[in-house]
Amino acid sequence: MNSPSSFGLSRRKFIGSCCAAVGTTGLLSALAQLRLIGALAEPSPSATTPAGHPDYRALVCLFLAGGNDANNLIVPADAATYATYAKGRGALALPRESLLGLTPHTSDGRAFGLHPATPELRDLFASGKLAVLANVGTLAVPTTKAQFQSKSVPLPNALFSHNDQQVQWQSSLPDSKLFTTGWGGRLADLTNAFNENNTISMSISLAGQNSFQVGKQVTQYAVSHNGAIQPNATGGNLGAIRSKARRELLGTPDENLFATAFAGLTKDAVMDSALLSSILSKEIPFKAEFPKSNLGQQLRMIARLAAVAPSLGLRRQIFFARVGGWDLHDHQVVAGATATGTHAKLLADVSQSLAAFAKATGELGIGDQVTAFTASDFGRTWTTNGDGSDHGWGSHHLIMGGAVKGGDIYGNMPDFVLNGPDDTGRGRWIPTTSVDEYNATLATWFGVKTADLPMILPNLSRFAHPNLGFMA
Amino acid sequence: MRADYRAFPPNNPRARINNANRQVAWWQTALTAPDQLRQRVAFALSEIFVVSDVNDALANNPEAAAAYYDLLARDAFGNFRQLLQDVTLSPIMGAYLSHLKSPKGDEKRGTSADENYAREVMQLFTIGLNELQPDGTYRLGRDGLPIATYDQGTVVETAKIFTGWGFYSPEPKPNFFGVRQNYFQPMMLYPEQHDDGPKTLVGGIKIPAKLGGANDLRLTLDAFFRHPNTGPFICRQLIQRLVTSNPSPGYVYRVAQVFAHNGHGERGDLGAVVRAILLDYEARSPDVLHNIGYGKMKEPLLQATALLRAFDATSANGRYYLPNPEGSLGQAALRSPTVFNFFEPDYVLPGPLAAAGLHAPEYQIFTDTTAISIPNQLRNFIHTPAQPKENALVLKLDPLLALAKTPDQLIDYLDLVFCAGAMSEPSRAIAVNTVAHLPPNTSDLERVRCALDLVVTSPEAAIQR
Repeated sequence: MNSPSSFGLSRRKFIGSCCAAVGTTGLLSALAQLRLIGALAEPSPSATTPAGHPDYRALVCLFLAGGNDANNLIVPADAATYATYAKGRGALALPRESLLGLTPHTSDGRAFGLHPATPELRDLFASGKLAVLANVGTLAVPTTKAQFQSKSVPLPNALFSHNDQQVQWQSSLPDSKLFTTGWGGRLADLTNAFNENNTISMSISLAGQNSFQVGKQVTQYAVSHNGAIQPNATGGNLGAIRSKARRELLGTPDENLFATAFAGLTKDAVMDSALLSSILSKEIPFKAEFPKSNLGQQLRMIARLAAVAPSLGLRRQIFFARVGGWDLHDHQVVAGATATGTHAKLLADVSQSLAAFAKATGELGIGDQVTAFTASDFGRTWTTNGDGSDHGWGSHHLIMGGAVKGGDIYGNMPDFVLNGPDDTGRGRWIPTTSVDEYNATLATWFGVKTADLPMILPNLSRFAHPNLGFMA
Repeated sequence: MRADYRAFPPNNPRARINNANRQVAWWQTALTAPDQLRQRVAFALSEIFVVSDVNDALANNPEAAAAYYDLLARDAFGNFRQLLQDVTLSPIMGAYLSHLKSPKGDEKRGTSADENYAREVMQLFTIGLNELQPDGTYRLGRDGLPIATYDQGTVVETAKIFTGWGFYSPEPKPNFFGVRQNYFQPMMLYPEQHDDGPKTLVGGIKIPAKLGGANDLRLTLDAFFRHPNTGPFICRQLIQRLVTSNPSPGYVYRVAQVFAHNGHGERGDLGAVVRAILLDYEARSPDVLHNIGYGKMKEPLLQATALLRAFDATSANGRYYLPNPEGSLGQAALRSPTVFNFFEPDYVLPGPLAAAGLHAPEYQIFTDTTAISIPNQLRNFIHTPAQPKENALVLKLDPLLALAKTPDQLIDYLDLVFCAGAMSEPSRAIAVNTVAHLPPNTSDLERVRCALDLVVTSPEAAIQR
């Protein structure tokens, strides 16, 4: 224990090491670390741009909490399919002429457009920095409608329930009743060996605790979009005396696990916040203007944290951002002006925030090294309840970054036929691509060898496409 | 709370009621109301039957949110069936979970009944997702896995029950969609908007066609109320909110038995349930204190109210105003981000608590940010400037001054008040020695503040046990 940073290293990499109550954790951690030495792919030289960080990659999970109605984000635009859409969606249907047309590299014969509130996304798609993944969702195994109806294959637990589906999207283990780790946490456990002397965790959340980043060894560090705050110690000399005494009080052993957790988390937070405050530059390292929205500010702080990754000793970072408000059972659109309303506002925020993030990471020279992707509880019903939509299943998602093979739609769009082969009722589409396949494609880009993907995504072998091809 | 609730300043005709006024009323009630136990249980209920004015529908309706809280306080010791009905027909809940002005499905237009309330009233307010034993543990199927209480088909069917309810209006023929909003009367039925077809509820209970919306609702809420899950499901959460995060199955069983039967032939007597929770062996006996998984973290609002109440905090202008509690405490009454509350009953904190198989709900909002901002806020209450602003809450620390020169007695008193005497000998020694060895010219008030600061931000004070 010769320096604060070496203390931080052991603390951050092994969450169990401070706790005698779980005797096996330290051993397991050590085994995991040994195991990973052979498990990581060689850094690909193409990943390093001259202006970027040396061998650096970051993933940003943007979670749309509540269940985004992507049926109205990526919308059928050719006459025949649009007619099906307009009839099916009724009061929620966007006017065809309002759609922002997409010209993907490949086509299934149908045309699609984006919601009119997202011109920035249209531009990113056109410039090849944004890809769409169609009808992806939680699956225990590939599932047909007949299998769904007869329950002849395992289905994700508590389908259509918010918290369960959020956890399953973030764990990639939809048929496990017990949550233990998130896929981002497992990815961090495996790839933390890329990082040297890291004191701040490679997993940073801008939106509090989440399932995605729960690992066995790597803990999540949750900061606010304003960055780190410091303990106040008013009263000059007396404040310093109190601070010293408090540190001692936080270090006093207590048999109660709740008290131990409080002391441990508080000590970590105080130490990490001091370190982060010293490293985060006061001057913003980019000119890109972010929206004032909470999401915009989360992504702005993520760009700032990515900018200082080398100072933190990090070559791999995983970020989590979250924006809520998508559970639009009502007031989804303004009646008679469906291109406006609550959903349009939320989508505009996502569009503008992602565009600003692309600009900022571009300015930092790490545009090719940072990939943002959306996730959400579930899609929503194709049919309406009058002025909103209810909980669905498969949904469309966005992947953005310089390393994304953008300008294309991956996966398979549903047939949009009510009571058809893709529909479990009211247009709750059976996903045609699993969350595991989506995540595996991202993990591969992040540096995980194909053979080692099952360490992160244990169910992956049940699905046909461990790489969906949307990453360079 | 609605009565406590007024625009400020009172003599300014241009002052408007806003969300800050509701928060002021909450702090005032929580800190000073004479019916403290009722208020405490109302707060617990507000974290189960969640509405939130973070939601757009309620954002500009603070008076309605205050009225909802009053409803919870009124029913806190009443019958659960009444609470369930009052919550269900509350237009605030209706706006929050969208069964207010929810019309029946229309095949021709391709619309279906809104499923929102039907799902959440089962998942969160009554029976939960999985079948439970009377002690709150899962019933297991032949495959060894929990058994789902209902499926999506049940949600679709139950959604029809909650169609046709709109704002109350005394007019003879009010318009379902256009009627003037009234958040202070229970919703009323608009029969032509209600789906009067047959429905099949949880457990296969059949509701025949043409019973009318009021009967549909009565039979459905009866079914939820009578469901064997409801007692253990709700009792466990009330125990978690009031006593400990991980009640033993026996504790849940004993309380759920009181829910089932209060000794006078009544099911759902919440007053009896609260009594059973607080007087249980597991809540009262010192024997449980040495269980390493006993207790719970005090949620941030309760850490703050404990400090403010202990020293009769008041402000010069008489208001109980805490600016931006979410920024400092990470929490504000009736401002949960979603219907799943600030934290969930089964939240697991990675690390030793998880390894021990323990739930730690309140830790879901304990982040690297709030771990610093919460004690900062507590310190701000303690170390007020000599000339505080007129709306600043100031503690009355005078009664402690007599103990300023006897640090051991001072710390022991604070340990009793904030830690229920749980400070370990080493912790107590650190605190006592620190106060005893402050520079000699330190005033009595500063000595008291130092002691208070150390105790209320200590791990022992953060954990209720």
